[in-house]
Amino acid sequence: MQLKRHFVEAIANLLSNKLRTFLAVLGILVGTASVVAMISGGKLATRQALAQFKALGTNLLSVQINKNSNNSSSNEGMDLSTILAVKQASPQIEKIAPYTNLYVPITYEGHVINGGILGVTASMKSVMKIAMESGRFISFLDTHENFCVIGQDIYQAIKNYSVGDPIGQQINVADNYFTIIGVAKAWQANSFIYADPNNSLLVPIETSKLLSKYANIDSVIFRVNSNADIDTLQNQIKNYYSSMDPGADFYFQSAKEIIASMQKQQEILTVFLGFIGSISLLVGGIGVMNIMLVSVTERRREIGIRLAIGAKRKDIRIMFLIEAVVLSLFGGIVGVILGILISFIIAEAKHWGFTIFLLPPLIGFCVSSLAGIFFGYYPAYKASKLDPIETLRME
Amino acid sequence: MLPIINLSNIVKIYKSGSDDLLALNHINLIVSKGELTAIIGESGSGKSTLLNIIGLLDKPSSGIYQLSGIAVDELSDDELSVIRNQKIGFVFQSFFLLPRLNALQNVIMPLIYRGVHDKEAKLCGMAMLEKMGIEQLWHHKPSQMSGGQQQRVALARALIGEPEVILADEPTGSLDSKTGQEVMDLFIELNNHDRNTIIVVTHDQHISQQCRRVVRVHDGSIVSDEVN
Ligand SMILES: Nc1ncnc2c1ncn2[C@@H]1O[C@H](COP(=O)(O)OP(=O)(O)OP(=O)(O)O)[C@@H](O)[C@H]1O
Ligand SMILES: [Mg+2]
Repeated sequence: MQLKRHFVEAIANLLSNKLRTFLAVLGILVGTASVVAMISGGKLATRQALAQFKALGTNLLSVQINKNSNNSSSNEGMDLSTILAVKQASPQIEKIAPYTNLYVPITYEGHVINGGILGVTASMKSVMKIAMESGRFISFLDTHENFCVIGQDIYQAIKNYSVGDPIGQQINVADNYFTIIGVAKAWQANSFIYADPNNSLLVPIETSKLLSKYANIDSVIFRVNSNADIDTLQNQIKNYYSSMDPGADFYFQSAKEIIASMQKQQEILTVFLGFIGSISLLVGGIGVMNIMLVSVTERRREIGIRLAIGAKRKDIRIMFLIEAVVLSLFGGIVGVILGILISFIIAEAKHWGFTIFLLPPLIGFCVSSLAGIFFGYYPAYKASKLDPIETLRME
Repeated sequence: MLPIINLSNIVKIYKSGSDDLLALNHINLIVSKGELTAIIGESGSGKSTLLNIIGLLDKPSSGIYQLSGIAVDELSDDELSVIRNQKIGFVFQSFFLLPRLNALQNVIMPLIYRGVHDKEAKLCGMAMLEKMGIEQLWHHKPSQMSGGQQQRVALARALIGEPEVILADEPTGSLDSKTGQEVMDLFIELNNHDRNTIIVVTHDQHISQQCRRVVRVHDGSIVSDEVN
């Protein structure tokens, strides 16, 4: 008997009992859906994590300088030239962008503006990939000038109070007037840089130190050679800074490290969810086995008739096996669709980009049909071993 | 005449608990091509057991059975399936059609198991239904047909593979006497015209009278074998 015919008959038979078919495949459906959702979701999350660094590049290293509380001798911290001189420590350092971050009252035309101050150098623009909407960025000639570049959020806030070109306008920072020299475009936030230029006034780093005595240079971002060995470089920088400022602790973070740890987390999550998915597939498979056993018992007479008119035991086995596979594949197909839908909802909720990946549905189909073969085999085997005389005897 | 069925010293013992039941006791029977034979006997005498052994659905406990020259006791289950498919056509008391399939699909089942393609099998099946006079019912499910109609479908299914012998176990047992006679007329017609070899198990004296040869079974033994 041809395989195609087996499939047609299996589908017809399953359709003749729709509710039971649906209930039988519910487990497979949920199992497949969770497997597909978790793999798709995981892939979307990883891609999202990597996308943060796509704009920024991965050849980044940051150091956080914290005052050692036991040692009050050097509460001033290192000055700018000391910080910048670290470049001598390694030729692998391409650019250095130190910054200060402080919060002082900001007003515009008498209205309070919520935002912070970032004291930056000219190199910040290329290290953090800040794009300008209008005007210019802070230049190395600006040193102690009261100039500022405003972030996109700040720009949106002051637009409420004035309609003209923001360039050249005055903004009040802790009772000092600053002239706006540029407006930055919206900057994509990421988990690597804590500063938020969108919601900040960017001023020359020397100026920021004049604004507050707490304005220490406590963060430095390095753009390094992409072939650089991060560990060695970290040590070189640390040794240099420690010798300059023995009273401080240094916390390093590299983009590569963050990506690696994100991927590691993702892997753990995948294994965990995969385990849950397998359990539900197991339960689903047992459901299929159960329904197939019931079906074999109900169709004893049919099996006997088929054997009497010339079906081989193999034909009976294949008939039930294909029915089990069609059943689980049906659950698999609906499960894959549901799984993709779930990953779509997750992506929407988290504002990630959404794509349909090929691998998860493929795994979903394979796993569900394998479950069908595995759990359908015993009922099919049992059906094929029935004695025609027993099944045809009148009740 | 060519012997199609040759049973010698067939014994069938059912083991039920401590005491064995001797269902068939040294049966010897030869059926030749083209014979219309009735097997009669009271209930429990072993008629069905005998027919099932002839039909290769059951195996004797001992004895030798040759079906058109082939010794069948050594054959595997799958080989027996092939022989059932090609050489034997069954008709049962309660029709035994597959309820989900329509008349035509039921009729062509033996050809499908033989590997005949759908189209060809359906042409054959329609011709067979026509021969039984129910071609207009080809798309009806068994539940949409009367008993007589269902038995005609079953007979068409038994005949479609051009078997060497038709085995019918109380084919009229579920039908009223008029419909039963119509089915019996078909058997006689098939035997007269097409020289089909037919064995009919029956309780009904009216039916057995119409057969040329009548074999009477009593307590697992053949007690008379008459040719009218
Ligand atoms: N599977 C079995 N196990 C035990 N005993 C059996 C089995 N099948 C049949 N028998 C016994 O074998 C004997 C013959 O049974 P069989 O069915 O051949 O009778 P029969 O002549 O066809 O009767 P009926 O006219 O009622 O159909 C009976 O006594 C029956 O109880
Ligand atoms: Mg009987």
